[in-house]
Amino acid sequence: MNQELYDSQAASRSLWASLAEVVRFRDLLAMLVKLSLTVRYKRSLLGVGWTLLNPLLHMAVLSVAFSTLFASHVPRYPVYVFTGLIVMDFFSQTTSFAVNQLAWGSPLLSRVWLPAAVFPISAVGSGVVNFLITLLPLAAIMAAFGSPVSWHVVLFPLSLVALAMFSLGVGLILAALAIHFHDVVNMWGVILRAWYFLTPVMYPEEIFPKNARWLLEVNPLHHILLCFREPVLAGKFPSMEHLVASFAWGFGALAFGWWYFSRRRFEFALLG
Amino acid sequence: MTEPQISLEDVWLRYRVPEERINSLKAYLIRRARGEGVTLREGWALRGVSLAVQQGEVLGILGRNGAGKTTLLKLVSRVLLPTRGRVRVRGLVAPLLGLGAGFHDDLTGRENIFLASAILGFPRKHVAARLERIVAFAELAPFIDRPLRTYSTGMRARLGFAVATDVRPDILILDEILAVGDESFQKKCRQRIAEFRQQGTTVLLVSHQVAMVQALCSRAILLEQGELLADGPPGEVIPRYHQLLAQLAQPGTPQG
Repeated sequence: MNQELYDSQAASRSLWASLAEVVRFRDLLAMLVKLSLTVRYKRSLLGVGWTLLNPLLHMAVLSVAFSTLFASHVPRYPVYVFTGLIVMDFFSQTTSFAVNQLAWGSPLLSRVWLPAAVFPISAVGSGVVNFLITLLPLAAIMAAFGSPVSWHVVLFPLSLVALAMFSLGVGLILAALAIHFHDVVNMWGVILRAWYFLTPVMYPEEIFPKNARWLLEVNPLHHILLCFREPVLAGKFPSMEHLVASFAWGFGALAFGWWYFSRRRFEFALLG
Repeated sequence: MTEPQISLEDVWLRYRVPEERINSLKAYLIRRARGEGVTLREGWALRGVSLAVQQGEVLGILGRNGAGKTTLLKLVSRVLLPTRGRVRVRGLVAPLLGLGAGFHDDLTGRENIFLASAILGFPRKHVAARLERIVAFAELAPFIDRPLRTYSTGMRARLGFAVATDVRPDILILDEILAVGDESFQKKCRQRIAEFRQQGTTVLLVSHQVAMVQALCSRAILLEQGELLADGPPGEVIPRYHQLLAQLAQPGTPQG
């Protein structure tokens, strides 16, 4: 008889085993990603248009307000802002969504055996799809403002991978915390707002106060954003410094987040 | 003697819950900042339970609320790990705890079949092949392309039962849920469970209705405060359960 044997003692908590579990549930992962995208669009009149329109409107407002102010530092301000916005939006949306996805899934985790990590992973997965969609308006803006296009733009997946890893790591930690504390999402909103203003999204890096520059050095999103901006705006390979920092943060956050999340895994079932 | 389908060897399960209910991060951080720790209340949900269930047995699990019945089911469904001891389970476990969990209101009935199946770990292509049968069993053919939000509780429960039991499981876990839908659908559910039993499915049934345990089960166990008090034919274990309830009901008896 071909019956799978489960042994609690052999229930491996190794990294590879838990990754293999996620792969086994890839159908569920794909459905959760699709679900989050379709639900988001079904509920709104404009549908997929929102994904395109939201950062565009945001960019338009910032451009009206700051274009002249930062004109000397940033030649094509709308392109500059837009690249910043889609990176920051990715981070804030996927990390918050990871919490929601796990909250939706947590009643299941006390009943059915399935890898809990699929919920936060699906949040990042839908973020990746949204990111790819917003590359279309980015291309339009670049064309409209006469941004020179170099072959280096094809390097964007590098920054996207680092961004996805970092966001997933943070999302895993938040989701695990939110199982115990209901106010995590609110507090996270405050932190995200501060993070947004401390990252050169809408202002040029040069105006950052000299004595606070270390804040940029330790800001993972600053490095990841530059890895995305440099090929798109300056048409060059991302500097090694930012690339290394981005991936170090990406791997570090993901490794810590995965470890912390796995350690808490069985508490989800106890509380459910 | 063959290997048992389910085996628990001296299983202990500890739970830890905060003494005061601290459910906001702010409150927690303030406590830590003041140097006040969070005291945890510890307890054992199961204490040294050993149990071997053979294939095809229908095991009734009796006990008061908080005796450890649900914990035992969670260990078998592998959503909890024992603190001490060992749990071994052979074959596909179908959990029927809380039908309808894993459904999404915005999706149609059809899409929900795929979603619930994915949660149970069934490959998508197999589900596509079985879709019609699931819909027919749930008696939802005219409604299957409508969003789930338009479904009644009974319709959801029917869909949940149909999805979870479409593949014959090796182990079926029933936690007080035989009250699905109307009388005729309940009959269908009981029939399907009876078929599974004939084909060798092991059933774990938690119920407060002693009559149901008496009628369906080939064996029963009694749990009290995480300990296994009795294990044997329902005819022996049920009187023991009544005895326990009577003892606890007597005034002046110290309660745990």
